[in-house]
Amino acid sequence: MRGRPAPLVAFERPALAETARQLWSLGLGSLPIATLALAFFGVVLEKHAALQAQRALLDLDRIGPMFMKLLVREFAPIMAGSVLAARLGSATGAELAWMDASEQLDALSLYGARIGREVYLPRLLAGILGTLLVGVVGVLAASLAAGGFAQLTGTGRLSAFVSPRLVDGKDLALFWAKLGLDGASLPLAAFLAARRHGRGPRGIARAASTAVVWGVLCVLVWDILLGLAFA
Amino acid sequence: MTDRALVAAGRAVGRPLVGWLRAAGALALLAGRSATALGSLDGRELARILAWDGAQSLGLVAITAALAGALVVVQTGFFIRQLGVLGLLGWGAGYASLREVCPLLVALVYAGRVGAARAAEVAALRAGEQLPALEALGVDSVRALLAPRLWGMAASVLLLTAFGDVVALAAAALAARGWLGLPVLEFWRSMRRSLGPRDAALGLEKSAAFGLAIALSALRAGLAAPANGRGVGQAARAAVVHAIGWILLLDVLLTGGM
Repeated sequence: MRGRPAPLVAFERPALAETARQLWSLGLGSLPIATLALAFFGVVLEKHAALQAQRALLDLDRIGPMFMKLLVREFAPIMAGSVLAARLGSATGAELAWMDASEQLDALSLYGARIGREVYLPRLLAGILGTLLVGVVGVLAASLAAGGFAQLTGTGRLSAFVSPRLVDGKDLALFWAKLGLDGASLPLAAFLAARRHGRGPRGIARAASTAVVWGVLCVLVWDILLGLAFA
Repeated sequence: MTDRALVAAGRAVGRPLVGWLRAAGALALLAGRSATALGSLDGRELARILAWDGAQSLGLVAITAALAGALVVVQTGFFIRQLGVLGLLGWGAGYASLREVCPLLVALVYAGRVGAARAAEVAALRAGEQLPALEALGVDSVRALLAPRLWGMAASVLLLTAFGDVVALAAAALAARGWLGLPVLEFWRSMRRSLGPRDAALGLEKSAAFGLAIALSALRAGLAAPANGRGVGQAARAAVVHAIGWILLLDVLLTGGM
């Protein structure tokens, strides 16, 4: 971290052009796989709900609005966080470890660039904004995919699954809090992983995999803590 | 102008399609050659892979599964408390853990830890010209190196998920006791009333498929990466991202077949 602990990069002013570039590459670049993942997960959840509804002779249309609440409170943040831990964590961990191993960070320092402002903070902001974006798009993708699948298989109606009538302010606060903390934790996990492992080709690979594992664990821990706080 | 637009559109569709077909072909070839090598695997290499990939991931899987178990209780507990059906918590938490959360999270963490490391290892072997050297000496690299890794990783994911199921259920029972005051025996009874070995078997079926997908993605990423230092990092990244794509696709297909 070039002499500064990872969380302290938040006190620097970010380089806007680099932040926009990182947001484009990490945030928007993660959108297709995360959207696909959430859509797949929506279909999986609908299938489980249909199986259980069939067993208990329940009407799936009555479960639909509850499905949206569950998605907003629990499943969208954890799935978006896990997929981004893999995509964003591995990319950021490997990139920073590579920059460290090839002495690009040293070169930037020599030329007077402030590493926190130019390198770390743009990635941190891109992580937070990208995760929020992926979470919102993910909820839409999952609910549309689940509703579409229910409509297609004749187990329920699309409108029941996209209905937000049971989602209240507390659910939305939990949703934003989880996504925001996940988004901040993933780049920080990658910075620390890169700092710990980033020397040589194997160090780069280890940094990428450590960033993913730490990222997933952060997502799980935040999910439990915030779930308990908002229970 | 129309011709140009047509050519551009053809390129935009054709290039990814050809790339996807080539990747699918390479995966099928690797899977086929590894399957034929199954009868004559190097037992010592397989044991080494199982020990490293499996045993050394036990701690991480235990932590992940314990968090997953607690998480499922926190997630289902909110709704179960609202509906006033605390007796269903064992069923809800057990069903979600065994069939979905545990296989999925163990596979995701395994892809991040071992899949990426194996992809990087294969890419480093290529970058160091050890794989071509083996081939030049007449050693079949698929039989000697890749097949033991593939089957070792697939078996590890299956065994780790079975271990993770036990840890997740124990953690869920403890979380239910600590957070909702549900006695452990009551949680256990609620689970046994509505769940059977079939629920665990379906989750393990998924994890076997996830294990193969992680192993194939890792080996393919290692073999396809550029044979240089940067390629090692690229292989690790590609292995994780491709494995996750496959895991989620397989999850949909296997849940659909339930």
